[in-house]
Amino acid sequence: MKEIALRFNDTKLTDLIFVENASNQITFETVKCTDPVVSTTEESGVLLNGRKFNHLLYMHRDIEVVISSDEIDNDVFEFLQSFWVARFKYISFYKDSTWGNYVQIMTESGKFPLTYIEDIKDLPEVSFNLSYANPI
Amino acid sequence: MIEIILKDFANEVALLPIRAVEFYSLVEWGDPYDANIVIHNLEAESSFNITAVTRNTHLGTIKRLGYKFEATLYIPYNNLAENSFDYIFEEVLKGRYTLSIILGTARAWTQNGYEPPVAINSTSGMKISISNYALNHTIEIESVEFRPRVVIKLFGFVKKLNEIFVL
Repeated sequence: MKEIALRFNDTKLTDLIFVENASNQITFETVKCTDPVVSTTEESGVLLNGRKFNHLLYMHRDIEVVISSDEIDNDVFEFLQSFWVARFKYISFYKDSTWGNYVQIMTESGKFPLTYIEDIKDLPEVSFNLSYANPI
Repeated sequence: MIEIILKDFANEVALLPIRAVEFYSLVEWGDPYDANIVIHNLEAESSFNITAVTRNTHLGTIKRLGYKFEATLYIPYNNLAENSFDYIFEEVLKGRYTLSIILGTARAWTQNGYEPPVAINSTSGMKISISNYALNHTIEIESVEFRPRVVIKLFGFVKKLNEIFVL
């Protein structure tokens, strides 16, 4: 059963309603797709009198998605790398037999998160830590 | 709809002992390492297994990602130099090769129509063949009671079960 759709675009989407056959979009079953969980960014420190403080700056929702080799062929591998470097990235969740609206997300920076199961070249696995672009 | 019903196994289970192993190496036409090597009369202790490589999912299920093929073949021929084992396994099978495990009354392919030893305790025949880029082997020589023997361990990997040909 499909759980999540990944879509990327060169420009910001003006309409966030899910489109079944959109270009630059693939749906995945995944082996892991967590529910969005709250992640906070705080400013913290110590006052001159020793009292500690923290100040909540932002709250975002984060999810972890793991796509395993059963869903990765050459085309999907290229798509996932294009998704990683794209300017505007969106996801949509499949729940209660319907696709939800697109949500803009951010990936982490750095090397494409690719690993190989049991170090076997034919078994690539990609793990994304995605963060909602807009704060709660 | 395809419907397959399997039944009546009584008196239908075939006896298929490992009878031989066949290596077929085709590097390039005329290459000295092109070879068809068949080893008959493997010891009864020989065995093979095909196991799934799986990945747990967060739904509590698993996904099948590929299959590992492993075989351990005990070869009773112990006049090693006379039987050219070092040359066969270190030189001839240096590159890629096709492997067939010959079971029961099945016969390995031979260029000159060689007549193999009679199959015993066999009521059927089957060949299990793997031909891919990830097949390889190790060679061991071990000592049992009154003699040394050669142990060939074979390791392979395929993504789909139908890449292992059962003939």
